[in-house]
Order: sequence, then C-alpha cells, then structure tokens
Amino acid sequence: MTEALTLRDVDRRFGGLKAVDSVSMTVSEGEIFGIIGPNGAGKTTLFNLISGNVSTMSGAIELYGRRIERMPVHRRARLGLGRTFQTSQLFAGVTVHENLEIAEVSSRRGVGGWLGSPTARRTVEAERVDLEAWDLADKGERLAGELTLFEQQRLALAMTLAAGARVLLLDEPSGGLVESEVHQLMELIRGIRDRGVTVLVIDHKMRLMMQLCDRIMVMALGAVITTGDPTEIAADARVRELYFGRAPVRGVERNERTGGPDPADAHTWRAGPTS
Amino acid sequence: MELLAQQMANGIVLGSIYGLLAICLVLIFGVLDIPQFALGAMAMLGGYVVFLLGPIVGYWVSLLAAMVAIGALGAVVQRLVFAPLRKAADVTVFVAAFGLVLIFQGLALVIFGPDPRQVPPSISGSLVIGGVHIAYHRLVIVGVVLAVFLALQWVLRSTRAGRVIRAVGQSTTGAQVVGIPTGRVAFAVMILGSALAGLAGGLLAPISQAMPLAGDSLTINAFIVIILAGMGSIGGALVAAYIVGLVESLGATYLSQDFSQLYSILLMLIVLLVKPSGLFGKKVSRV
Amino acid sequence: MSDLPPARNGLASGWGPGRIASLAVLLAAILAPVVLGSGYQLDLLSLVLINAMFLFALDLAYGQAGLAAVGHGAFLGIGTYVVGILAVKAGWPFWAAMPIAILVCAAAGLLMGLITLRLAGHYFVIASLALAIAVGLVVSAWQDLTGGALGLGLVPRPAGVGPVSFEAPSAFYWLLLAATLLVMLVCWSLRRSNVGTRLRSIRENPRLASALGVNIVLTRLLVLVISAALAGFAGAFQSTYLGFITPSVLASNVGFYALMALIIGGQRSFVGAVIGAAFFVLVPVLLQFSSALSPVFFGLALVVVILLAPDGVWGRLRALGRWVATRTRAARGGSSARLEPGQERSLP
Repeated sequence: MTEALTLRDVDRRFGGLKAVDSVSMTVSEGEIFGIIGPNGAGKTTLFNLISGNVSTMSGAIELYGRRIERMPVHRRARLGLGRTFQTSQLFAGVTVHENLEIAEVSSRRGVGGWLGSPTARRTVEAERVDLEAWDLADKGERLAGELTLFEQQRLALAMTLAAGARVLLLDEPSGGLVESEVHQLMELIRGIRDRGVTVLVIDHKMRLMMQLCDRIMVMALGAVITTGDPTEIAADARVRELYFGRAPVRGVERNERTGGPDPADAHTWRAGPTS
Repeated sequence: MELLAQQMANGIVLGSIYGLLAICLVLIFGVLDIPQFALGAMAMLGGYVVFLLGPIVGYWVSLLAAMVAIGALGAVVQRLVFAPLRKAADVTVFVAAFGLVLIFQGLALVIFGPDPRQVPPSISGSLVIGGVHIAYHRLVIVGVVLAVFLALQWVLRSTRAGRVIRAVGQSTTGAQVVGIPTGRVAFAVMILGSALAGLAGGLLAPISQAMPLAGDSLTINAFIVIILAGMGSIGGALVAAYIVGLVESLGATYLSQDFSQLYSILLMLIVLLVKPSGLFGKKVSRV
Repeated sequence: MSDLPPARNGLASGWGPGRIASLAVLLAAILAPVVLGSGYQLDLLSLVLINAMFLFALDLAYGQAGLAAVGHGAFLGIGTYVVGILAVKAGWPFWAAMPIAILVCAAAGLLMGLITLRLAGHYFVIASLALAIAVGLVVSAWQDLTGGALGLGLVPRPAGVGPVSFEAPSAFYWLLLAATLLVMLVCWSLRRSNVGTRLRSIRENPRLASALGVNIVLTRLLVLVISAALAGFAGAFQSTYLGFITPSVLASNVGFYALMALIIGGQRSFVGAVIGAAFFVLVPVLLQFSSALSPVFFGLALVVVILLAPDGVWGRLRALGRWVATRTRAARGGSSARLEPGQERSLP
C-alpha cells in the first residue's frame, strides 16, 4: 500500500515543554487515521507541524515520499496537504460561492493560474454540482459567516478538496455539532475517503472516532502511547488507564472538557467499537 | 583626534534624544501595539511649551510643564483617536497617526510661523576637556535620559505597575483573563509615553530650536532605532539609539553632510537583510 | 436558484450607483475641455488625472494587497525623474523614456518588495518609508545627474502621433485621460484575474489562504511590482506635465498624502480614487488664503474619515445609494425587498 504521510522522530518543544516528543507514524493512502489523547497531548501541535504552521525542531515529514518539513505552509498545500482548523475557518466576509472559487483558484499554476480569470475553468454547472454534493445548493450567495456551524464545516471540507487536497487533516470536525449532524459528518468523511483522499482526524467524540477510523494513534504528553485498530485501542490497558485513571469504568465523571471521553460514550468503551 | 572626540560626544547627545523617543515608542508600540507616528510632532510641541514658558518660569519648571501638557495631549489623542481604533487594521492606525502629525505640525505653523525660535539652555556655558567643547546642556540631556531609562527599567522590573504593563505587552487577552483593566493600562502607558516625548522635545529645544518640522527626523530616527534594536527591551533601544546618533554624527563629519539621514537608513537596511528581528530582538513574526 | 451570478469583484455589476457614477464622471471628464476652455481649471483637472493614475496604482498595493505602502510616492518620483533625466540630459523623446521609467520603477518595486515583504505589519511601513526617504536623499545629492535642489528642466510635452499633436492643453488633457483609462483597465483586469481572487483571500483570512496553497509573499510581490510600474507610468506623465522637476516630487510626504487621499476618497474603488485625487488637488487651492491650514484640514479630514467612515467618502455614498434603493424597492414591492449578500443592513 502507498504511504501517503510518514513522520519520523518529529520533535517540537515550546520552552521547556515537549509538545511533540519524537513522534513517528505512517498513514497509508485512503486510510482514515484517528489521533486521540487527553488535552495537552500534542495532537493539534502535531497537525500544525504537518501543515507547516509550526516548524519542527528535528525529524522528517514525508508526503508521498517527498520531504516537506522545511517547506512553507502554502507549498505543502500545493502538494496536496489540506487541513481544517479547530475553530472552523472560512473567508467569512464573502459568499459561499466565492469561498469555493478562492479555494479552487489557489491551486492553479502557471501564467494562466495567476493572470487568467477565476471563472475561466469553473463552469456554472460544475459549481452547482459541487454545491449540491455538499448540501449547500441554495446557499451559494450567502455570506460564509452567516452559515450554521455544520454548514460552515461542510464548506470548509469542500474547500480543501477544491484546493486539491490528497491528504486531509481534520481538527475537531465534530466540535459544536449535535448528534444527528455528527452522524452525517461521519458519512461525509467516509465519502471523502472513498474519493481516494487520506484522512487524519483529531476528535474528542470517542464514539465517532471508534466508528470512523481504520486505525487510531493514542498520544499523551507529546508522545505516542500506542497505535492500533479501534478494537485493540479499546482493549489496551494503557489507554484505559490514560482515560479512566486507575478507577474502574464505573463512576467515570470526566467529560471532554477535562480531557476524558464524554460520559455518554462510556458504554462504547465497555462494549467496544460497534463497527 | 579632537574632531573625532567632539563628534563622538555630539553623537551620544543625538543618540540620547533618539533613545528617549525610541523608549516612548517601545512602550506605546510594544505594549499597546500602536505605531505612534506622531510622537515626534508631540515632542516638537513640547519644545514650544518650553519656548513659551521658559522665560517666565525658568527652564526646569517649563520642562515639567511640557511633560504635563504633552502627557495630557496624549490622553486626549488616546481617548479620541486610538481607543476607538482598537479593532482597526494596523495600516489604519498608522495612517491616523500620520493625520495627527499633519494636524500638530499645521497648528504649530499657523500659531508660531515657520521660523525657528531660540530657546535658552538649562545651564549656559560648556565643559572643555582636552580641546573638546561640550555644552553643559548637552551633558544635562545625556544625564536626564540615562536617569529616565534607569527609572523606567526599575519601574518595569520591580514594581507591580511594571509587571502589569509587561503583562499587557505580552498578551492583551491574557492580561484581560487575569483581571487586568487593559483599557486603563493602555491609557496610562499612552500618557507616560507622551509625557516622555514632551520631555524629549523640551530637552532638545535649546540645541535645535523650536520649529514646526523639528519632529520629522526625530520620528523617523526613533522608528529606525526600534527596527535596529528589535522590539523588546528599552535597554536595546537605548543602545541602538546611541549607535544611530554616532553613525549620523560621524557620517556627517567624515563622509558628507548631505547624506546624514542616509547613513542610519543604510544601517537599518543592512540589519534588516541580515537579521530581520533586529540586533537585540527575538524572532519577529513573519508574514 | 436557476443560475449563479458572476463574481462581483471589479466594477459593480448591473446599473448600480457605481456604474452610473462611473459613466457620469467619464462623460464629464471627456467634455471638460469643451466646457472649461484651456485655462487654469483644465490645468487643475490634468493634475487630478495624474494623481488619479497614481492612486489607482497605490490602491493595488494598499487596498488590494493590504500593504501600507507609505513610501509609494518614491515610485511616482522615480518615474518623474527618469523621464526628466532622459529627456533633458539625453534628449530622449517622451515615448522612448516612458517605457524606461516603467521598467526602472518595476525593478525598484521588486527590490523594495524583496527587502521589505518578509517583514510583518508595522515593520513593512517603516522600511518602505525609509527606502522612500533614501531615494529622495540620493536624488537631491546627486547634482550632476538630477540638478539637485535647483531642479531639472525643461521636459517637453510628448511628441505628436501622426496628425495629432499634444501641445495644446486640451489635447494633452485628453492624452492624460486616455492614459488614466489605460491604468484603470490594467487595475481592473488584475482585480478580475486569479491574482485578484488570491488577494481577496489574503485580505479576508491570511492563515486559511496559505493553508489552501496561496503564496502570500509572492502574490504581494507581484502586485507591488505591477503597482510600482504603474506609478512610474503616472510619474512619466507628471514629468512632462510639470516641465520643471524639483526634489519636492520625492518628498517623503508624497506617499503619505496619497494614502490619505485614497482613504478619504474610498479604497478599492475607482470612483473613490478619483474623489481622493480631486480632494488632494483641490483642497490646497480652496484653502489658498493660508497654506498652513491645508495640512491641518487634511489631517482632520483623515482622522474624521477613519473614525466615522472606514470605507471613505465613496463607501458612504454607496451605502447611502443602496439604502435609498432598498427603501424605494420596499415601498414599491412591499415585503419582497431582499438584501443582496454583502449589502449593509442599514446606515450607521
């Protein structure tokens, strides 16, 4: 299987704090790869290192075999690395249509890519198909900032794909969504994977992660604890200890705010993943 | 050799004035993130205060009056212009500050006319050491600036007020979270910085005379100084200011008078190219 | 939704107040020499056109690319001096010297961009200003080439093309008008192009823009170079308009005044730039009785506009026009009046 993204011994300190401590991992093409861990485990920093928003101190990052750890953010994006941010980031002051247009234009190259017209290759028809695929068909002329949270999340996903992402980093995609929306989101992410896109996802909703991911990596204090498929992760003693302390599963009172799993998800842990 | 010593002395005096303004800038720019481009013009107005009041109440009292008056002007400017622009883009704030420069300069021109006005020094006469003449007033400038620097350093390092100011400088949001009234701190820092600009203008007036355009080169040099030094410490700003003063003074003597402003600009460009964060600065955030 | 309207960057689509005002201004501009004759007033209008060209160029850097190019006056001045030197010292005709001025300014813009674009916010402003001051100092001091403080002259008017001569004030004015429209066309095309789209993304959200693959520094560099080249083009015309050039065209406040005029008129809009240019030229004329008062007036106008109308005079006028339009539509069609996206809800 093709390796889409590889990290070798990647380090990042902030002052004395080891935010990411010698992390190595390999994600295969078309995989949905989850990263879990308590708050402060270094998950978002790891994403920032991969996308280039934070620079590595040592170690190697390879995207489809190509070293990218010294490249600026935009070059990594042009090589097919897409990401969403924890607080969904859009061009809030312009319309949905224009958001997609910007995303699509940003990946164009050559003289035409600079001086050509943004509408030259993007037909009205393609635009509509695109909007329908993301269930935004009647929202084209709305300002992105006026959309609901879930609509914004869908637009953000559509934009990364329009910009040509082959490896996608999703940071807390379910943040602020209600239960039914989380379910739809899961379907959308599977759909993205089915297009051949590799997906890395960080999320606090344990049930979502267990059902969605092919493999899960567990982090704590910047280091990798273990990696495995959801069944293995759920059964792993170290992971259970990490999340529930030494106390048995009964009496779990921590929620996602304090870093543990949502109490509502506790049954998932007892029962193991449903998928 | 005497010429060299003389020019070094002049350079240090010049550097002291630039340094005082640069310290004001580091405070206002560093803590409030306001590029107060009008500080030089405010210093110029401070010079006029000393020109008006000096003959009546004496130099030192008029100098104090200049600090009070320009500090008050700073309060007005903060309340009317900069506070409402808190959330505006960097560029907007900068251009607004330039609008203030035009207003202050224009008013000085309307009220006092374009001719330079003589201002008597604090102490007349000069010190002669081995053929080098240094006016006593110039020594006063160097001394006062050093005293202000040490006092500020002590306030920022060792007092509660200083810690609060530094906290706001680090992160406005963070300071708000721990309950610091950032608006009031901003107001106080603006008044302090403006009063010091008034002091700089009052100190400079006896050497350079009071005139409407006196502030222009002051502002530009003060900004050059903080770029050279890198944002961060007022100590770094003072050292960089001495360097700029020396470069300007020595360049004007040994190279060409015509280009005196150019030397410090060239120095700044070289530093920017080699070390964009400045001589003493931490890493500057890049675009 | 049956079909999607085209992107709304560039000129306002449809017969909005923008389109109507633009056409009215254009018509008035073409007919001006007929109405005004060829005296002092036409002279002032010619100056407005030169400044408008420069403000269009400046708006690319400031309004579109978000660069606080306070030192941009240097490019106008360099263009002016290149044509002046070539014409006076080497006897070059205007039409040969003008392209050189454009090239020199583009190169200067590239150099300035390479030095300053890596710097964040305020640092860019100071570096750009310092470079402009440095250019002014060099030109003043290099007396052999530039005539120093004494100035340089006389720069002749452009040679005629075929049967058309540009000696008469009205003919020269129409030439300036054509040049202004050309600059406008270049700016408009750039705003409509992918570069314009990238610039919009950088203005809206730089972090997201780079995450999507936009090279912020390169995009800004490209726009800075084009903007500098256009400023050089405007400078070439300023050279032949003035005839006699002094270092005051390179004073460091030229860029500041231009930025002020643009902000007062309204950035990211051609009409706003023209309003700004007119303001810049006419205020000193109107305040002739006291030359000291005009900077005070400029400063006050600037601060008031920044505080009360961040989108400038034209931005407020446009908002007023939309407000009136919505009101009348609402009165005619009852509750069916719908706000277009991006439209303001009400006048503040």
